[in-house]
Amino acid sequence: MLRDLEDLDWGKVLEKLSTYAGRRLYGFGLCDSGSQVTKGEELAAEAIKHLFDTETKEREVSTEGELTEALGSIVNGLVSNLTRKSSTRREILCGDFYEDQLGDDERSPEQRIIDHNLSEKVMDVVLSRIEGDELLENIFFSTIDGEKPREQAEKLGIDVQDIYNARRRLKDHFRAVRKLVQSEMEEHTK
Amino acid sequence: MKKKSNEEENGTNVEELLDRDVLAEDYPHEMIEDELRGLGAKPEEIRERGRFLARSLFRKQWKARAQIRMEQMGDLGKNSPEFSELSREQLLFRLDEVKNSSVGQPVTTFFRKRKKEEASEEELRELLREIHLLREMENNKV
Repeated sequence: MLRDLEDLDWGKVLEKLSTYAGRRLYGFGLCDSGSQVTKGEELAAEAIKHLFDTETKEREVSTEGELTEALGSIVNGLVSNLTRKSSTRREILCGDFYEDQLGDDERSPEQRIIDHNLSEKVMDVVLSRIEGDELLENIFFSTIDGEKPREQAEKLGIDVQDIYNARRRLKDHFRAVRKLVQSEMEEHTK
Repeated sequence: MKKKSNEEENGTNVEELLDRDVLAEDYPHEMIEDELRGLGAKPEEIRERGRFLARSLFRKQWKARAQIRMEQMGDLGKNSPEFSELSREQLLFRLDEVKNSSVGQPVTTFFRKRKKEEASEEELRELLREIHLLREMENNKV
């Protein structure tokens, strides 16, 4: 029950969720970096309201972890709805979650090829950028293998906070490269 | 379900997984605040809005439940006093009196993360009406 979570610091919940929603919106090209937090906060607040409105879901949420999971899923659903309405997509729609959300792939065959090429190029450029940075390379490949940050920290014998810092750097690489590659491709198709 | 190539699947999943880090329970909160500040936001203001939002949603939820119970009770609660004659000090005094009683939960919840001076007189009256209703329910064993 949500009532069990009344003592939770909901201020921190909104901070966390706004950051996540902002990252997703920006990743999908649905906002620029200047409006990322504002738009993220709007979406996060909508997700929280949605959770309170849905009586059936309410019963399933009684711990902070479950709450964050539920809110994260609602944010993903809301972002997915916005993506459908938007003609611009910086991120490629794939992976189980988006398959579940969208059902059949709505992209045209041409768009799929463009997305595939874009994705391959992004991966190549990110890998070349992090070449020589042992920590980032390690995190990159172990993340693909499904390792969680805590597991990575244990394996590498370093603090989990250092892992999160490194993952943040890796994320920034992805973001920068995707932006660059996409603008190159757009230029090319003109 | 269509099968995607490993590169395509991994490319997106890595980014998505990295984005999801902030939702992890052990993700350092100061990193979230740093990121928000870096994007030009004021984390303390977001926190304040989050607390306000949750307070109002919990309150709305509580009122909805009370409403359902009231409907189940029929006429009970129909003639709740308005407490319009009471001053701010008197309202606060009454709420203080019931705070530790069996029907004092809404008062504790209301003031959990909020100072008395932040509450408007209308909110205090509304709270007293809720207490009144709870007392009626208790007396009628609903």
